[in-house]
Amino acid sequence: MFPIQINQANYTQRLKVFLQSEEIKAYTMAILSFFAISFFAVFAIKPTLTTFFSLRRQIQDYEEFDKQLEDKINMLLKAQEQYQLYKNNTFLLSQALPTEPQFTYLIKKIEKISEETKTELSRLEINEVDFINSPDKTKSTEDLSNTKLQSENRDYQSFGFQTEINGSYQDSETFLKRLMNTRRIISLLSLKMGKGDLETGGEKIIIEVEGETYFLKK
Amino acid sequence: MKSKDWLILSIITFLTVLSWTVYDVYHTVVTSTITPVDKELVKPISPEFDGGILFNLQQKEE
Repeated sequence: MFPIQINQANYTQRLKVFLQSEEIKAYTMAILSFFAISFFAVFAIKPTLTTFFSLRRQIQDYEEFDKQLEDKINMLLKAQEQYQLYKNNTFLLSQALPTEPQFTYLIKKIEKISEETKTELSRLEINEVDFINSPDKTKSTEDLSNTKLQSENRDYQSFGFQTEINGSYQDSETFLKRLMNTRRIISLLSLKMGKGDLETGGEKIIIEVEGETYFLKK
Repeated sequence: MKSKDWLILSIITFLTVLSWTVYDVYHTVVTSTITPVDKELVKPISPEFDGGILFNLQQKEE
């Protein structure tokens, strides 16, 4: 134990002498100050500042959010009023854009119009419906990607149909007018006209109609 | 290490801690606390409805 006590005394003595130098004092104070500030910055100042600004940001965000939510509630109330106003007629929208393809309804409708307009329905084809958005094989790669993107972004889906009717010009015109005047949305893609059966006097014409109709995606 | 080296080290430490604190505070200030789900909830909707559409549809054949 004795030699160690001597060393400690020497060490204290040397340290006192060392710290008496003005330059060393200044350095020591500066170094300790920087380390102390850094220490408190990490363990006290930073958490406090972060908490303070975080809370302030939260208050700002929630004030803004509250305002937006209030606007949304007002919009929903207005929408509810509108809905109450048109509630009894909303079935019209379902007829125009059904949630199912309703092929049979479309076929029956075309048949009915043909029958009532005294035109002969010689052909009626419904295209395949792609429920999983697979691209059309006849289109180029660029078209395919565009079609696919558009199809994915749309809320509705479409399918095509082709029909051929044979009748007088007047009846065929009426058929087309009535077809386009159905509640179900139908787009006419192409229309081809040709001479009809000459045996009946040559007054009849053949019309090939290519159309597209729509339904809502689920 | 000499006293000067210690001083440089303490200054570098201080500057590092200072920039870390400033960055952390800045990050807190600019980062929104509203989640994307909440943002989706408050997305505005248009309450207007064109009643003329229903009228037009009513005129059409069922």
